[in-house]
Amino acid sequence: MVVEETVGRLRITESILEGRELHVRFNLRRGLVISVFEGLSIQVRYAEFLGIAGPVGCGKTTLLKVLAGLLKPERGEVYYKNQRLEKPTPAISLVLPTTTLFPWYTVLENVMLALYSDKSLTREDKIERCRAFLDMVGLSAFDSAYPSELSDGMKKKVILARALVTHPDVLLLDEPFDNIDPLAAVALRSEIENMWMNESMSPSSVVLVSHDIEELVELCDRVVVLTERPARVKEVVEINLQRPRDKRRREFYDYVDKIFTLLS
Amino acid sequence: MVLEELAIAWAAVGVSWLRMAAALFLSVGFSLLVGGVAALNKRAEKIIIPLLDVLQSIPILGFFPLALYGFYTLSPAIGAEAAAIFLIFTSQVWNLTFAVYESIKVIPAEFIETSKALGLSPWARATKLYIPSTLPRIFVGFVSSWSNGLYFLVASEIIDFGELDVKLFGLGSTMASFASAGNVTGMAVTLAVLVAAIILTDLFVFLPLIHYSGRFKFEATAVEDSPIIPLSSVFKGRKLVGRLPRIRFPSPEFMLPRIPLGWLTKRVRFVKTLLYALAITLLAYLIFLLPLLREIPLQKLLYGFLERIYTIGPYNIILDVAFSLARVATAVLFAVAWSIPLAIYLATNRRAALFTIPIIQVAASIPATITYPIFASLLQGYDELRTFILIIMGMQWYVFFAAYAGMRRVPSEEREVLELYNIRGLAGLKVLYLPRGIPSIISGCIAATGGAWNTLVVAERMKIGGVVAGVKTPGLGKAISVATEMGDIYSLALLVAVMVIVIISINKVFWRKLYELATSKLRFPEAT
Ligand SMILES: Nc1ncnc2c1ncn2[C@@H]1O[C@H](COP(=O)(O)OP(=O)(O)OP(=O)(O)O)[C@@H](O)[C@H]1O
Ligand SMILES: [Mg+2]
Repeated sequence: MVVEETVGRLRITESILEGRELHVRFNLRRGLVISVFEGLSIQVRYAEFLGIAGPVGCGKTTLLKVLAGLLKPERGEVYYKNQRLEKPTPAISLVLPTTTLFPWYTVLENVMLALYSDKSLTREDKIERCRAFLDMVGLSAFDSAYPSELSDGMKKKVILARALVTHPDVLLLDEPFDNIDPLAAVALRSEIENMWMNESMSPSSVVLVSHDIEELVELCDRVVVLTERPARVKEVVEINLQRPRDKRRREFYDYVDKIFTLLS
Repeated sequence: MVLEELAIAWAAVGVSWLRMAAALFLSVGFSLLVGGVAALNKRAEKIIIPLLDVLQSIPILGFFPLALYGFYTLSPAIGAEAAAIFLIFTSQVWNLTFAVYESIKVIPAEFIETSKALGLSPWARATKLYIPSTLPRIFVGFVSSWSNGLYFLVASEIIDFGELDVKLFGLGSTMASFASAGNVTGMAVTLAVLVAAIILTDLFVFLPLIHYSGRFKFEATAVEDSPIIPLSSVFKGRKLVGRLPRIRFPSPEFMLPRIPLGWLTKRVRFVKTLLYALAITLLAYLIFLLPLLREIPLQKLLYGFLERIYTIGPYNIILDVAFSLARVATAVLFAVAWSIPLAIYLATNRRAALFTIPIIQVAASIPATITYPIFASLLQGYDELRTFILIIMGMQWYVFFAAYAGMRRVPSEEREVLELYNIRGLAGLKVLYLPRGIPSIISGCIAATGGAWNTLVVAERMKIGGVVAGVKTPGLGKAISVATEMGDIYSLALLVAVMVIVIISINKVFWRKLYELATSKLRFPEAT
């Protein structure tokens, strides 16, 4: 195992989740074919907070779906802890920008869906665990509410609780702070950062897709900048700043500028 | 000689199609008038909509013998023809009337205000705004109205009506005479010609009409665009069809009658509906029996009707209803049982659906009644099985198409959630597909139940070309069929009234309650 020391945190360069030589195409109607990846490779390291930035429509969401095992690449493989990933696993959680909650289930029941096929837990265990996570995102009073009774930001939190309740090793986040009010976003961001920093808690690694470059610089160890479709890795920017990061410092803005330049 | 049969079959299709076209023409006129008035006049709306709700659940085949008597007594020359067209009309028109009503109801207010501000005359408003706005839904409605009409057209041509020995030349009678002559080639040719005619009519009449009417859509109703499958993608890779890129295959939803279920559930009351239904049944009888009044005085007519309650006996009527109910329930359960898995499979596998759905659509558009002459001499000794097959052939598609439409509305994001958490098979059904599909499945079941009751009149007992095929056990349809054959108008009136009451009760007490329960339990903000 290769271990590096940077700004006070141990970094392990071995990857926990890896996409190798991914090829993804979509067949549209009328015979149109969109080629999203033609041999994209990406590594998510142990215990890292990885950011992904790229132009609109370049395939960021698609990449997360592939890494979660939800979408089969046409060619190329995904490896999780050096094992081929064939289908979604509770060890990798995916939060998509569409807040998909089933309207006929309560908040608690929606979160429990994540543990549905877990045979090792009793129903009571599941309820208890889900309650704990709802509590953590600050929704303990709402477990018997229905999704239609929640605000958009609250729905995002439910989705986050649902993603965390399986104790995943890797958390894949696709624009999780979009469309929620800035104050709630700040709180949620530090919540996720704290959970990630807490070694005894999952997730070990987080992958964050965002359009908000400041957000990426604030949270990530490395930021992968993708090109237009078919997306390649344009550059990987290492962010060597002490946490918690101070947005007012000049170095912070140097990183923001750097990524911004890469994107434009 | 195949050529001879081919000529006969095409001639039969031609004659039958003319009948259908005449009925459709009348239906459009009626629907524009009645649907339009209901949509534009609040007071009329309160009367017309519940009335339509009753009318669309009346078993048409039960009424047919009476209509036949009525029209025949009026004019033996064209009576049978008129009765057949009337029968087809009643099977096509409610669907279209709801379509017109709905279309006008959803015209954005600013259009109506503008037309008024411009000082357009009522006539100009009708032709420039109201009628064009109804065209998209009317043309879409043609697809289901036509297939529904075909079913009754064929029925009207094949059924024996006792003493009134009327024979209508057309598809049904041609099939029946080939069947009784044991002419297999003839039967095959007739069936093939029928399928060809249905496909050609769809491709060259209805689909271009639907396509054309797209321009009259208001932005707000544009949702209907999506369920159309481009024909070119169905036949992808075939050069032949490359030339028809513009023509689109209608989605299976179009095969379903359009009934604003959520709306009706809320506003139409049960007892009122039943009273309406009884009044309509009696009124209809009186109208049809009017010509007969020349021969029989009214008191005798009413007396005969009441007397039958006594002679048939409540016990027998209850028994008839119970047996028929059991048959209908079995058929609906059967249809639901195969429809849901297939619908899920096809809704999640676009490639499989691309060639399966058109095949199912063609199969579904063949009127089940056309095969009745063949079945009449088949499965002797297995009467219940034959009856079961005849019932499901007529109604199972409603359930399938409704289930398919429901499953297709399951957003891909929700399917991804299942996949993400490894929820498969029955669990997926329970967690996602059933909840999403249920409102739609229930409305399919309602259409199917109505269809099944209608079918009973023939399926429980039919007499085609001298062959009688029917169940040994009781049944309401069988009783109606017997009364028809004996020319017993009084029993007929009584039994059909019973059937109307049963249908409406099941519809109101069971299905709509279930629908209400389901949509509120599932917390769907929108009613399908
Ligand atoms: N299911 C699909 N079918 C067809 N094309 C798709 C599908 N999903 C994505 N695409 C196409 O693939 C490309 C990449 O989409 P993707 O959603 O991954 O982009 P993105 O980088 O997440 O975009 P954004 O920044 O807007 O979130 C887009 O051009 C999109 O049109
Ligand atoms: Mg995206």
